Amino acid sequence: MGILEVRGVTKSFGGIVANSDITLDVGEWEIVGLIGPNGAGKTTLFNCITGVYGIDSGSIRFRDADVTGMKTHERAALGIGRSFQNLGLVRGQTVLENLVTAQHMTAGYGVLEGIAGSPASFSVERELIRRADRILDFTNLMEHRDEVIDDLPYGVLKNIELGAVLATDPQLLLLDEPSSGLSPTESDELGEILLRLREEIGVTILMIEHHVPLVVRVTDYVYVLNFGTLLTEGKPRDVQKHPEVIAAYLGGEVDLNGAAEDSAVEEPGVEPGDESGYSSPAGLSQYVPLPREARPRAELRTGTASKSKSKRSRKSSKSKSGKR
Amino acid sequence: MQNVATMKGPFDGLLEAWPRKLILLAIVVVVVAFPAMATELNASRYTTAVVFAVIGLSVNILMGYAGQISLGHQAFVGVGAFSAAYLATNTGLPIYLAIPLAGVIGGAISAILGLVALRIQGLYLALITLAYGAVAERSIFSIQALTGGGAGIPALRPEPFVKDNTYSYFCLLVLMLVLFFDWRMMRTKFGRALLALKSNEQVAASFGMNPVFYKVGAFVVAGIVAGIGGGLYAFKEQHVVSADFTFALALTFVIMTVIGGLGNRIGVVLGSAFTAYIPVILNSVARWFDAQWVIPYRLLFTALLLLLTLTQFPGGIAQQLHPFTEWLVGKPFHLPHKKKGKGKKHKGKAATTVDIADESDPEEQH
Repeated sequence: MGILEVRGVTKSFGGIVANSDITLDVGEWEIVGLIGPNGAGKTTLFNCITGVYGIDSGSIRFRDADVTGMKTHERAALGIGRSFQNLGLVRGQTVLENLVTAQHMTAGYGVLEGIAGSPASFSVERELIRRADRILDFTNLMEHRDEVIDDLPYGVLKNIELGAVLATDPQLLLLDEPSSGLSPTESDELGEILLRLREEIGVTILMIEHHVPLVVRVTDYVYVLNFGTLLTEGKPRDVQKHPEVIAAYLGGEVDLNGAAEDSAVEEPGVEPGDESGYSSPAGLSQYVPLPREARPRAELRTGTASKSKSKRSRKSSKSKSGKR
Repeated sequence: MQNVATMKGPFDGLLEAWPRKLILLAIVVVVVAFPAMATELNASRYTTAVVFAVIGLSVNILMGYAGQISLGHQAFVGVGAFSAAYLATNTGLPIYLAIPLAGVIGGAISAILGLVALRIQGLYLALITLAYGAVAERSIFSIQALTGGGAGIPALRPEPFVKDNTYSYFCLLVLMLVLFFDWRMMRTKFGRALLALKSNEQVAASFGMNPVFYKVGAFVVAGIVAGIGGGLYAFKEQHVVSADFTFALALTFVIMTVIGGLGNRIGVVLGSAFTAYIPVILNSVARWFDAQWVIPYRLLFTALLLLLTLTQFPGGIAQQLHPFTEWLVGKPFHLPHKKKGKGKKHKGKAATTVDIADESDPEEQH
């Protein structure tokens, strides 16, 4: 039983079919990746899941409730939180104010009660600030607490946005390119945060992501979209080697054997992190990745270290040109 | 309040705090005591400024907080004014009831516009509000039975407020209540939802805010405040005529709010009060410099001010006074256009460091 069930969702704008008969499942406590070239319809699918767009046909179920006809804020109240490609933050406010704003649903007092200033509303407001501080702690953003977000670099803002989404208390987190604009080290940190999120808060994640190492590292299962249709799905490392996926990303002009080799040697690039402390949650579905110890990582690293470096850099530049 | 480490002796903090508190007290005393001392004419002008401030706060709720353009604000104000006048004159309601009721009616009227705003945004909403104001001017305000047609209806003030001096205190009290309401609103979830909605509607919805509720809510609250402002205006003029509520008035309301600084309540109050005083200022200029020709150029003067604000200080008066107002409430004094103001702590401190630098420089040269 999945936490999110998308069944045959079709959405078209005029003559352009942005999503065509897409079916996907996200299981409890999974981290699921959604990849595909630009214009594949990934963000459109997010907009359909969150209710920004109404869908033409199909259904979307969240925790066994049909949310197909619901408004965005109603779905948010059920526990679907999302981040945006162009930053879901309130401009002109400080980081702390943003996190307090995001806790709108937690602020349980009535609008008039708040304006009248009942003692209960004051204690709720204090609690909101305490919770915001905890989130800042969790996402390592305490140093930016009182800075206005307009002055902060994009990479930091991406993390603040993640914090803001967390502040809405989501059960399902939809992340739209969380690592865009982050340096490699920052996106490593992000991967760590995402894994910690699942472990400590118990949140399920569906994320659009282009940064392959991050996808391979954190996701349990990957869906690939291309031209609005589901191209393939599977475990991240299988999908990565899938010839159609490589063709979709790189335009089909690639020697498939070479590309497969590429992805094989990329494995050592996957940071081991603190995976040893990670234990699979009980509710995790069949797509739990293999325990890291079982992978023949060490041999590969010693065997093809120099080769992998050059190939990786070549591949990353290639895939970049393919995406843009 | 202040960083303890920056204080050196027991009297330093006291000396720094003294001028601040003195200035704050002086401002409050002047504002509160002015109507009691002033002539009836000056008290009347002061009342106009206070009423404009209430209306400016109403425009600010829509434009500054919720990000909805309103070019039809004269309609809300007019509806409030006629309601208050009608209720007081024809049904004999006391002023204490007539003005809140005018607010309720203003809120109901603007809720209709709020429902329109759900479907239309930006420039088109501006056009709709403009048309709304024009239609109200020609239709609602021309109903003979309610507004007395072109002749208007009287709105006489009851006994304690017959003199402008005492009535201005009534208006000042209402302004304080509106300011308090505004402050409370922005510190709770309602205000935060408005700001989020202004920034990005999709983001606001993803935070669980109902855009329909908060958009219409913003219009209703702004309408209530505008209706109250209209009620105050009616009793201030003591005679309401539909010719008063033209598009030029709506434009003045918008301009004074922008000059004051959208989204900043103190700036809006100052900007509105200042705009209310522009005719007085121009009259004085005309008298002192014997230049009667300046008087007809009132709108030109306002337009120049707006141009200056938009190009030089997008934050309006609030932005220009920001260092000073921050200092008044006990925060460090920062000059604008300084990156990450780490330098100056206080006005006084800054002066002393400059002095020391001046003294030491010649010594080094010797």
